[in-house]
This record gives sequence, C-alpha cells and structure tokens, in this order.
Amino acid sequence: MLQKVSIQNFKSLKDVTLELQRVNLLIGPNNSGKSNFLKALESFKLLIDDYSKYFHQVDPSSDLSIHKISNIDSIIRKNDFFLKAKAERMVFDFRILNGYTYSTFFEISNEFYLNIGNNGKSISSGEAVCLINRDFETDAIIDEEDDILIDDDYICGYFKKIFNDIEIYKPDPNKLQKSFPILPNQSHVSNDASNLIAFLDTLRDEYPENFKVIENDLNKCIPELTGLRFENVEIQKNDDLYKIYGDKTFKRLGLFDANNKVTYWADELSEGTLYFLALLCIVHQPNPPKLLLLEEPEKGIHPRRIREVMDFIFQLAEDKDIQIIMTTHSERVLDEFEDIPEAVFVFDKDEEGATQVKNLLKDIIEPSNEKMDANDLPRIKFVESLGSHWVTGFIGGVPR
Amino acid sequence: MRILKYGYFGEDEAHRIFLANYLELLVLHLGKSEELIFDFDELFTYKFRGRNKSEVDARFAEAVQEGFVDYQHDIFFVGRDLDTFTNHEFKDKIKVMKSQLSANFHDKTFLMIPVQCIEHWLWYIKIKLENPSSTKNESLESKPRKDAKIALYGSARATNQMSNPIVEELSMKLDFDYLESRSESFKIFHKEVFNFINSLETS
Repeated sequence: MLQKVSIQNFKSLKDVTLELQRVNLLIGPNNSGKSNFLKALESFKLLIDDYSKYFHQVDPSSDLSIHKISNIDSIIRKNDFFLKAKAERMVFDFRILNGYTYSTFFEISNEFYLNIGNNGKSISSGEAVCLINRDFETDAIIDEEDDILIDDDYICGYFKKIFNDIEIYKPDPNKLQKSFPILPNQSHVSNDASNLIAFLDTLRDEYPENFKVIENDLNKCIPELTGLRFENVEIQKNDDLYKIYGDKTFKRLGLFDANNKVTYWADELSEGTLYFLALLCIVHQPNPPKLLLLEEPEKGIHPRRIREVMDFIFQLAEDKDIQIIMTTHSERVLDEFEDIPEAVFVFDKDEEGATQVKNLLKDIIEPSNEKMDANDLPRIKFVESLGSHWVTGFIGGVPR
Repeated sequence: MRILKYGYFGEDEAHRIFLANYLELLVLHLGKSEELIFDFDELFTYKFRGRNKSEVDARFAEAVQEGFVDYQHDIFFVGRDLDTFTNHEFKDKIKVMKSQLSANFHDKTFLMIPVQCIEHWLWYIKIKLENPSSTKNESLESKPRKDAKIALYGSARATNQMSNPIVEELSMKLDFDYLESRSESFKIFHKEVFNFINSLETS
C-alpha cells in the first residue's frame, strides 16, 4: 500500500505530500489540483512500467555526478518534476531533470538504506549503500566497499508488485451507449470503460461468478433491473468503430426490467445508470488494480444511492486488498468519511496558483480543536456532518 | 479612528450588500465617520457561506465562533430570512438563535432576520422613494416573498447579476426612521446595532 506520496513541480502541484490510507478522498473546488494528483500517480505508473527506456535517454554529458546523486537536494532544480512514494519498507524516488528521467530507489531497513540506480552497481559509505546509474560517470564514486548487484528486473518487479496497475478510471457514459466489438480476453475494464460490452462478454463466459455479482449488485441498487442483456448489431463500414476494429461481431448492451419484461438498451438508459454499471464492473474486475484512482464515482448517481456505491468501494478495498484514491464534489460522499477524516485531503490553490493540500484530521480538525480548547469554547463538530461543514466553508476546499 | 472588523454568515448576497451599506450609512447618520470604520472581512465571508436557511441554522453558531477566534472579528452579523410573518414566531426565532451562541459572543453578534426576506425591507425603501410624501402605512411583510421579489427585481427568481445592483442602489438610500417605523424586524436589528455603537462611545 502506498503510505506517503510527495510530488513536486507537476502541473499545479509545486510541493505536496499526502499520507495515504486504504481508501482516500480528495475534495476541493474545480481546478484545485485533484486530478493533477491522480495524473502524477499515473505518470509514475507509466515510468515504472518502462523506466529503463527513460534511463537510456539520460544525456551522458550531463553534469550530474554521483556526488550530486547522493545529495538529493543538490539535484532538485526549480522546475524538475519530483515524486516520492513510500510503500512499506521501500521509497520510490523519481524525478525528471531537464526533460530527462532520473530515478533513485531507497530501501530502508533497521540498519541501512539502499540507494539504487538501474545499473546493477553500488557504492556504500558506512551504513549507506548506494547503487548508481550506469549512465553517469562511475569514477566519481567514493568509498566504494560493497558492490551489490541488483538488476532492472528486480527493481521493476518489486515496484510493479507494489504499484501493480495504477489505473485512473473516468467512465464515459457516451461511449457506453455505443455498440462494441466482441474482442477476446477483455477481463480488464479500460480507463473510460468503453470496452464494457467486451468485458462483460468475457466475464459471462470466463468469470461467471463475477458476472453474477455485478448483476446482483446492480439489482440491489436498482431493483427493477434484474439482468444484463446483449444483442448483435450491424455496423456500417464507414462507422468509426468498424474502421478501428474491422469485421468483428458487434454487440449492444442492455438492462432487463423483469417487472415490465422489457430490455432497455444502452442508448435508452440514463448516463447515471450506465456510470453506475461501469463502476460495478471496475470494482468487480477479476484482477482489479492494486491502486485504483476514481474520479467522481458519485457522478449521475441519485443521492440516496451514494451510500451503496461507497459501500461497494470500501468493500472492494477490504476484500481485495486494494488501495483507492478518489475525487468527489459530493458532500454525501464526504459524509461517508466521518469516522476516518484522516483519509480526506482538502485541495485549494494559493494566491500564486499552486495547489495546497491539507489533511482533514491533522491539518484542520486537530488544530481547530486545540484552538477552541485553549479558548474554552466548544469544539466545531466537524464529524457530525462533514459534508455540511465542507460546503459552508469550515473545512476549506470551496470556490469563492 | 477605530476600525471594527466584522464577519458575516448568511445565505445570500442581498443581505451582505444591505449590511455593508447600512453600516456605512449608520456611521454617517451618527456623525461618527471620523471616528469609526466598519471593515468587512471579505476573505471570511467568501469562504463561509450558508446556501439556505437550514445550513445557516445548523452552522451559524460555529461560524460566529470561527469568526471571533480564527479571524479576530470585532463584531459579527448573521443573516437569515424568516419564512413566517407572525410576530410571535419572529421573536421565538431570535430567542432560539441567541440561545445557540456562546455567551462570550452575545453582546457582539447581531442577528439580521428580516421577516419573510430582506427584499421586504428593500420593498419599503422602494415605496418610500417612489412615494416620498405618502403617509400610508401598509404592512408588506404579510405579502408573499415572491411578490416582494417581483416588485423589486421584476422576477421571482432573479440572478445576482439582476438583483445586486438594485439591492446596492436601494440600500444606499435607506431611511432609518422610516424603515424602523414600518418593519418590526428591522427595528429590532437596528436598535441592537445602534445601542452597540453608542456603547462604544462610552467604553
């Protein structure tokens, strides 16, 4: 699980640190940096997936030397994107310098820390062991004692295990209304959920238990809808989907209303219903990502159904050991965090346009309590109604 | 020169505009413009806001506390429209709201609670401006809120862009004595603020 993430110089995120929980909520006005935070994590994933490619782009004539590498502060320049993430014993430290990528890894144990490049070589000084990047000059190494050979696969493998498939999900209901080709092995929901038909088709044949759970959960929240239906459709050769996927079997998706014995096809369903179905598919994927990023999971959902949606999300995190970071503009979603305010992060922009992030418990509630106690006044009852305190301004993260 | 920093928590812009102009005119009216300035805390008011009556009711006591403790306000105003127009319910509402305030803030927190809505106070001002010599004393506060809004803005659901300039213009032409003689809810609010300012002189 990601425990702590620091980001510097990524879009509006000049310098923010979040200490994360199992399920996390980001709130704040539009354009305050919530989505940038998710995008930074997504960039992180892309670089972990293929980081050696970036290493080979490092300019050998760079003036960075191992002396500077071992001194982190000296190589952080004003406009460098810098991201640091702590997960259990490991810290991933990643930055882009002058358009190139440079990365170091630190492993912290009781005795020493490990500073790892991607070269398979190391230096050590006292208790510190440092592996340096082969693209940098090696003759600058000082006090070399214990060479430790660690290859790229080890490093990538380790971090992929932790950050396995970070995904930002932003279902697009317009795409769900369209037919889609039946492609093989679609057991993974795409980021915009546009492959939902192929995904559900795969699930029905290969993961019938998951398919059934999705139908049941849908029925739990929308009792009149009892099942998922598919129907073959003809696609014109000049259709964009045909141009992309060619001569495939295309299907459309529908939801069956048992009371009226009628199937409502996707183009007849509301965006909210389709969005909710996409959310169920995301949470019930056979192999959901270890770090799930959701933008406004309440979108299009009736206020009375938001609790059920949040229950699905919390249950998923619990059952499948998944970490979730989501954004919201709904006070009802925030109300679901009344007992875990430490998992809420309030985004605002300062006068210079830089994103500032406060932890609801540590930076807002606790200081307020201390201040009110010192003045012998009753405490602000934030957690009695977090949503109400948010929209009325007590928590911050509100538009002007 | 004494500067009194004030906070405001309420549900709409009309209250805030009226209040700013009211305080400015009151200082002039009392001949204290050389001694006293009311300084509106914009930062607080743009951050803390009730969107409707129930939010104002639920949060105003905490907002007052935040204003005095965190924002160092000298005085605080709460604005809330009252649905009812009976005198009994109006007085009960004031009593209930005051009982929710911490004792430390009772003497420096003022409840601006127009019966029906602030537009009724403005409607009186409008009528006075349009009929300066009329002595007719018609109670507007028993008339529906919708009527007051239509009379002022020409629409029952006016946008801020439509209403704010009208509120600004009318509240700048406020006649204290006249409004006091017409509206009981204004009279109670005005008397409290008036007494507070006078007590500043002697303290």
